[in-house]
Amino acid sequence: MQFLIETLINSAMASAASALVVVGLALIFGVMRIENFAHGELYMVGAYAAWYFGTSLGGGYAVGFVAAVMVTAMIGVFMEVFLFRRLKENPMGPLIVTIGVLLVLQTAAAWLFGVNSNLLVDSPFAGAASIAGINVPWHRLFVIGAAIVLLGGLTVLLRTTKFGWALRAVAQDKDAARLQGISIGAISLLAMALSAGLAGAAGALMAPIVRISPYMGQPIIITAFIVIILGGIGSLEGAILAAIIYSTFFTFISAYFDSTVASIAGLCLMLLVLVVKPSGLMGKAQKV
Amino acid sequence: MTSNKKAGFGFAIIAIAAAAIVPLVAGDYYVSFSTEIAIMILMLSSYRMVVLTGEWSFAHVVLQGVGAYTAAIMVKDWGAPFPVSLVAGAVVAAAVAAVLSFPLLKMRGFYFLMGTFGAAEAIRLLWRKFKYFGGTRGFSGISAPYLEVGPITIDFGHPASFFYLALAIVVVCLLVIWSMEQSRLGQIWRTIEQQDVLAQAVGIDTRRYRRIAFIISAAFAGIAGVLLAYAFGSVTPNRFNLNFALYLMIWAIVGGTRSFYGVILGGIILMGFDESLRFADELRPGIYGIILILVMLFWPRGIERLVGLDKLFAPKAALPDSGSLAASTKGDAR
Amino acid sequence: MSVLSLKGVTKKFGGLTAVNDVNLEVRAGTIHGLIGPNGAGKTTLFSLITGFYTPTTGTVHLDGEEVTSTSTSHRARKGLVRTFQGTVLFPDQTVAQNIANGMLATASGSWRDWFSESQAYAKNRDHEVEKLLQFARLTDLRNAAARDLSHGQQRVLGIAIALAAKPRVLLLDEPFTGMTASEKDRLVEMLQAIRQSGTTVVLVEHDMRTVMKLCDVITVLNFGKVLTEGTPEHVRRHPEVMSAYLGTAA
Repeated sequence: MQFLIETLINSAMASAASALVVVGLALIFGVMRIENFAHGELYMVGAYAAWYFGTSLGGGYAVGFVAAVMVTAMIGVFMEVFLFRRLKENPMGPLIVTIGVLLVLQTAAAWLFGVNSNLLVDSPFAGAASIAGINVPWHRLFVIGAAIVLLGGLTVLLRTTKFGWALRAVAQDKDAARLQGISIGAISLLAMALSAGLAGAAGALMAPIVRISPYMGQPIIITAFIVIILGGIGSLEGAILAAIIYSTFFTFISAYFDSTVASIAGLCLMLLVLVVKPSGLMGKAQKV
Repeated sequence: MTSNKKAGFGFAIIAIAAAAIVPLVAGDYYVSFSTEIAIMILMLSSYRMVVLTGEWSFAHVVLQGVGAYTAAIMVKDWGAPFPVSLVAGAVVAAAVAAVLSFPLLKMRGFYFLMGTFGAAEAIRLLWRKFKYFGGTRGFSGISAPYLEVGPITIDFGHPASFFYLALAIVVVCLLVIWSMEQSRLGQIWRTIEQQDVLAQAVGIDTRRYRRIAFIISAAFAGIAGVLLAYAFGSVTPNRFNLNFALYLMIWAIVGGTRSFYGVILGGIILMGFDESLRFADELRPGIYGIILILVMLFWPRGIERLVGLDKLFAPKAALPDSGSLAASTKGDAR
Repeated sequence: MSVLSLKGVTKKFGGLTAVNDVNLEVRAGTIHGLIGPNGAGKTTLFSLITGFYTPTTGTVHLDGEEVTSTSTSHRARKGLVRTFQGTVLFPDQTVAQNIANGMLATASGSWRDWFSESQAYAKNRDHEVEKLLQFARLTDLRNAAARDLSHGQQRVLGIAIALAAKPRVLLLDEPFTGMTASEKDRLVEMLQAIRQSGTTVVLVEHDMRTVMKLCDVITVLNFGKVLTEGTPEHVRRHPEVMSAYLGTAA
């Protein structure tokens, strides 16, 4: 019973973190039709930035968090301006350069901070809460809460602001949006900053609880792609729902069997969705 | 065209002759390295068959692994001789590809990429998981082939003799790949890559021919895997992970996938370059990342364009100046 | 004898019925026009004939064989070959190669063609390509890249590619769009010659004048249904045809 509750809390946290990562990925696919393989590395950069600005420079966790969001958002803007814009004509081009960015960021992190570093980020929420006789670190609860706040904020941003309206218009039909006077370039830029910033936020949130390494983005991006395929590519609601379902599924299988079995099961689930219902849980039907 | 063909043939002879001299002038280390280059060239050329149909796959390296594991199991469990495990490696890799092709070939573009990744990674994790496949350690101690015909015995355990064996097999495979590409089959692949809907309109069953490309390329990847297993004497699951799939893709793009020789030349140059990066092992992925980005931005046809031999080896038509990848990769799953 | 026949074909998209209980008989050796105002279901019907869509109900027969739910490529191998509305070609390849591509799937051959091209195939192909180049008046441009042709030439090349597949029924999707008057006249001649050689032609077209001049039989669609069918003379005199066109034009 204790084990069950612990696993439940762990899956809630895993859901929260992966929802933040996946929403950014789905957002950028929706707006720009780009599959960003470097998205997991943005998460990794977020974790490092949180450590560097927060712990190493002594700015504290809040400063580290803000710095993480800003650094990753800037990388996102850089990718849009210097890479994606120049490769508009090439259907697989953006996807392939994101693989290049992935390798560059990974190597840069390994070079700057070392491969086997043991970096610790202190959480401002030390200690643990006691829930039904189980000690749950406060930071884990904070991650869940922060993810809910961020995703809620994102929903408000997309549903109620002019920017959100324009972004959804671009995602639905680029040409129609252009005719409405929306600047595709500006929206793409902001969407890329937002998407990257969300990944950075997720990295900063997870930094105190996971081992920070240059390769920490790789399992994340694999999970993220599985999740957005499950959720229906480009659908934000689908992505969040799928993140929760998949993370719970994965955490439970890992807890009761082992993580290799969980990975195999996850990959097979993705293949099943690709074959049976490529539009995913909530995506629009499309010909594959 | 015939003069071009002759010139191409001449270059091929010179290249093979140059390769054959390597063991006479270089030490064992570089001979083994040349064997690796030959295997890599076979990988790139066979990968290109899938690319010719307009798709990028992440499964090719794992299909090579299927060949390698088949050879390892044949040798370890049954003591099979080299020719048997060579054929078995090709057949099993092709069979696995044939099974995978049923779900995977329903997908295009990004979906195909992710589908191939998912299937390949699942297979690789099974190797890690099950003792039968040697778990995370894989297999080691795969002994070199040994040939005994009457009074003549050749021990391929020696790097030079194994190099000649590998070279001969790779050259034969390249010849087959080359003639397939020139044949009606190769022309059909090009039409699918260039204009899928028009190909269908004139009666080409595009899924069937993409499947054929996927399966045949897997057979060659399987052969490359068998050679790899014997060359290293060992097989581990990590040798076939996502990084190697990424590298294969990068090398194909940087070499240039438009022409037959592009990937070969790219393979040789990049293997040499890779070797020269040995002193900076940790920087290697980043350097490839930068090269990949620069090539995509400024040089979308890769090395083949730089060397300017493309006109010489080009099929009948003059090649257009622009948009190799733009034209070659219609990911229509969007 | 009808070479292409549709029986009770209906296509629904969600609640919308784009094509409603259409019966169509295309007789062999004719030029058959499909016309109708915008939104009448011409494009949907065309897609149902080519196999891009499968009808919700009803059947499609090609030369007596049912092809209702077979793929486009299967129908092409059975002799039903389509062209495209825009210029869909192999832009990087030469004109001659473009035409040669048209016969890749339908020319006879064996599995040995996979490994090397047989002399017989190459010879037959070069002969056929030569004939089609002449027919399409593209002989001088044989080595030009398809992308460098003029719009009219590209349209003609598209038809030549389709002819290389040796169709019994050639389906043309608005072949006259964007052509100059002289190009139109030339294409009319070509289509008449194609009919002469025994190939049935079905075309969807907006250009009423050309359709009237060229077609043996015209089917008029309106609101997804067959309004009337007959000779150009019959259609011209049919009172509802004019009002259908005027009705949507207003």
